[in-house]
Amino acid sequence: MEVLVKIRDLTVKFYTYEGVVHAINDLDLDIRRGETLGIVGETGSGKTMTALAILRLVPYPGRIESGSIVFFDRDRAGELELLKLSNDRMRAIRGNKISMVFQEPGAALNPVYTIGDQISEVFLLHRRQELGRQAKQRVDGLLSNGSGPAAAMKRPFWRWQSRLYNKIAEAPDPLEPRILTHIPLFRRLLWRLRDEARLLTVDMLKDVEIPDPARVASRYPHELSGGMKQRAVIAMALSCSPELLIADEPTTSLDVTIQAQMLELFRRIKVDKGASVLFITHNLGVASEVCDRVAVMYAGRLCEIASVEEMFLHPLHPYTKALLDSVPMPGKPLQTIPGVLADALNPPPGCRFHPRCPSAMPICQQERPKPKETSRDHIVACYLY
Amino acid sequence: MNTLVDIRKLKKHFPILGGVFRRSVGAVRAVDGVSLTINRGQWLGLVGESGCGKTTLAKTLIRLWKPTSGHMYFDIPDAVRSEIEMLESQDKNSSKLHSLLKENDLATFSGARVRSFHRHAQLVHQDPFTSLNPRMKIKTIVGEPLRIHKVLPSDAVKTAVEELLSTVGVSSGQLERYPHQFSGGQRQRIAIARALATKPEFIAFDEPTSALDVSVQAQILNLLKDLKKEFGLTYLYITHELLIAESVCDYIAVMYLGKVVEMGRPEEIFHAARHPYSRSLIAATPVPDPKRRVGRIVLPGEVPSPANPPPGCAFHPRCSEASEKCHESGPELKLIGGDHYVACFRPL
Amino acid sequence: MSDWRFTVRQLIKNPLSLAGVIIIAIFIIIAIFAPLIAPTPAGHLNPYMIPRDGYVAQPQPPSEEHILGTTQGQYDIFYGVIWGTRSAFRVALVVMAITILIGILLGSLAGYFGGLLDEIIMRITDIFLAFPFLILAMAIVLALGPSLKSVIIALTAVWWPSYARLIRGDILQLREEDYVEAARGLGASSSRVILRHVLPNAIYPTLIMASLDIGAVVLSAAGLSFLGLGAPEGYADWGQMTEFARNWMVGPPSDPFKYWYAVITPGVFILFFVLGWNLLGDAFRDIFDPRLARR
Repeated sequence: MEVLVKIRDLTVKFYTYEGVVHAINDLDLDIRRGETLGIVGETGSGKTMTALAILRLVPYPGRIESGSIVFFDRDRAGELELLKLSNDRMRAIRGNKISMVFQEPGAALNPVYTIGDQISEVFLLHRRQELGRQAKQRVDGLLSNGSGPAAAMKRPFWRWQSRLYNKIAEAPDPLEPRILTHIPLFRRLLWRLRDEARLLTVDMLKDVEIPDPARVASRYPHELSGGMKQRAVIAMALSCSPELLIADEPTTSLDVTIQAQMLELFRRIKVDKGASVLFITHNLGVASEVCDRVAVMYAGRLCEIASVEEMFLHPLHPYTKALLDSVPMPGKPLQTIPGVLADALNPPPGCRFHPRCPSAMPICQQERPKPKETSRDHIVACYLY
Repeated sequence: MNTLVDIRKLKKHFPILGGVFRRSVGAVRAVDGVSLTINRGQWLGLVGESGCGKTTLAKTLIRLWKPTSGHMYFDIPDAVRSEIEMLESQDKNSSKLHSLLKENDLATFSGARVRSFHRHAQLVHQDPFTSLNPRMKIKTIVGEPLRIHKVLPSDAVKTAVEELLSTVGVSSGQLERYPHQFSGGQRQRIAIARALATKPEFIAFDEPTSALDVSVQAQILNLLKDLKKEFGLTYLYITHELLIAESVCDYIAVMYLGKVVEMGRPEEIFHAARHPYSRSLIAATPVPDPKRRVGRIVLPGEVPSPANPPPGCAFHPRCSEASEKCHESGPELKLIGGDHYVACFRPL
Repeated sequence: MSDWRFTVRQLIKNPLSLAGVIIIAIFIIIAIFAPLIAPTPAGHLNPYMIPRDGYVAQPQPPSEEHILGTTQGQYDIFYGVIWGTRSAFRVALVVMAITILIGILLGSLAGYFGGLLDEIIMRITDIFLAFPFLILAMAIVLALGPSLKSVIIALTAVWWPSYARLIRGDILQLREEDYVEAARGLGASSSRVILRHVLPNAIYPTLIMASLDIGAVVLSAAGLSFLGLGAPEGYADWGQMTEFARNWMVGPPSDPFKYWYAVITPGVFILFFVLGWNLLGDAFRDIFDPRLARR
């Protein structure tokens, strides 16, 4: 399978008042085209940071220290080293080629704008040329079909609009329309762009199975329930048909029955839109429902990555096994993992898991184990293999 | 005398104020008529989704809030309860009934009586990051209930606190620390120590592990098991994680929109649920087993708002088995075998 | 505040807050050592009355005997500003202390218990806030008779409503916190909950506002004294000294700035006092801002 994003040797550190936090350490990860890859881990595993690093949204005082994230852009037929792109080019990618859905559905939505406006914003930002083309077509239609005195009066405006939209359709940010947006009354000439964006928005809301999409588009976030908000956020993320959708614990704050609907939606998105999904979660059950491959991270390092069946039926890394064991199953006594999560400021040397590992060997505390492919498509970072 | 907690037709409504004069224009019917009993030593699991009223039920039960209506009996002999019931069915206004209620019905208590009741029943909150006062040292936090209820002389408090902390697995020598210096799991242990301080008989847990990592969850659950055995406690355990409920609880109650829709032993509920909602809930729970993906019942629609519940059976708009009758009247909990209760006109 | 070291470190790190700390420290030293810095002449009964050297109205420029000169009526400026520091602190601290106490009392009752009590207290607060504060203060001082004590009473009466509001707002929010609910669940009485749980967490925004306000209090007191509604004539108070300088702000046409020393000196002291407290207040606000907390 084709690789969409290739992460190599990624290291992210946080320089805090108390010391340096090693959020991600020498991470190697591949996201393939058309797959749903799950990253499973607990607090401090680095799973959220990985997502933020791909989008270069790592917050201060964090810094991407080293490594490379290569994005294989289908349209431009090339490799993009995301960590070296200029801010402008990165912005053109965010929301467009790679978009993100966060845990709190309410947090991503601005409470003072309607849902429709917020989704339209994405279209107006990234698909301006297409909108211009559509708008031009409509105006041209009016020009050729219009008749009667009312049409005669409006004709000069239509011609002007047609010219403007043509300009927009050809170049991303031409001069004349840009000046016009700053002059109050003349800004109206460009209203058709908003209109076209609105049509696309309603289509998008329909895609994410929101009932009565036209009405919902004119609603404000606080008028919607959690599940609907999350769908709206997903609609926003999918609006430009991204090649990669990153979802950071998108169902954690939702009820179980709503979560089931969401997981169903994620499964469908993959099929319909052909997007890859990077699904971050701490819930193994959710991961097994929706992912094709699963990666397990601990204390900023990758432990194991394999297909869903392989991972849950034949887990290799001791941490993965312990994690699966600690999921409460009736009839089985609750297994715990001895010890505490690795201290982010002072992580254990060598393999981060060795203080808690039942199979720890002397070499485990000296040097970190490198990821190794054991069987087809099953990679483990452990000295046992 | 096995019954520790007996709730009869408990209702807790929160008024919605509106209009210029802030009159009551409606109510959020968080708990809308719940009757159940908890036996001594039982571990009752209360499951449901957000808005079903499980948290409100627990907080009303331990009298953090005053019930809108209904009766609550805590550690009251069977004989007294039966007498009250008999009197109620005969003459609602008898003075004897009133005095019996005033003395025994937890719902009528106020002021100092409620406060002294807290010696016997405690609550552990969901979020260990906000349930401990950030500016108090943990020795003060855990020692506070002892001081409030004057259980021990002040010089004995310190030793008691040390003992409590070691019982819950917080290593010694950390008395002078503040909550933010502990991890989530440890903070929850401190909260549990605080709840145990006055040696209560009953502890309610509001989703105590949902804010914690998976590996820590198991540790806390094992701790709760040990404590229950050691101190002979009775638990009310609220959770939305059905897997946990199935593995630790010995009785389950499923709530939807302020009412209990099904009650029974875990094996019955999780493998032979009779209420359509329970079945959907269980089917919707993801399990880390890639083979178990088929046969999902994806429940349509959203959970209605407790301020505006649908008429009749609250679940009927989303129910696959709904009939005319379900739209007209609300079903009561009926015994359908052993100790399995269902509130449904057309149980599966 | 659990981590004093963190606070001190933050205070010193930022040059502006460090400046604030230094300024206030200097003022504190001046206030404490006033008798040593500007000794009261022998036989002079009340050290808070500035000693006079003659009765000539015209201020005299700085000389060997009077380091900063004398103001109207030959009151020694140096003595005045040094002992004026004590008056400034006295006014500021007394007003702030009583204001905060009243504010805490009324604010807690209103915020924690709500209902009718809340409404009544808030309406009383509204009544006080309806008056322009300086006018109200002036009216109170006039009614009580001009003196520094009346100024203190007047400013307290004018200042407490904002604090009651502030504390009430904080308490309304804190009331809903989990740990407060947990405290109630333990069986704590209302007074215990308020005193041990709510107030210790509510007090920080109040302290920040108080440190920013100390400057404003001194400024208002100086304003009242400038208008003649404050300390008696000859009292060692900065505002009172500006009142003296009122007649001498513009000198003869040939030399308009002739009496600059009488005008500027008390003003400069007021300026730096207020500046120091403002900087300190800003620094506290930054330190206690939860978003910047590095823990």
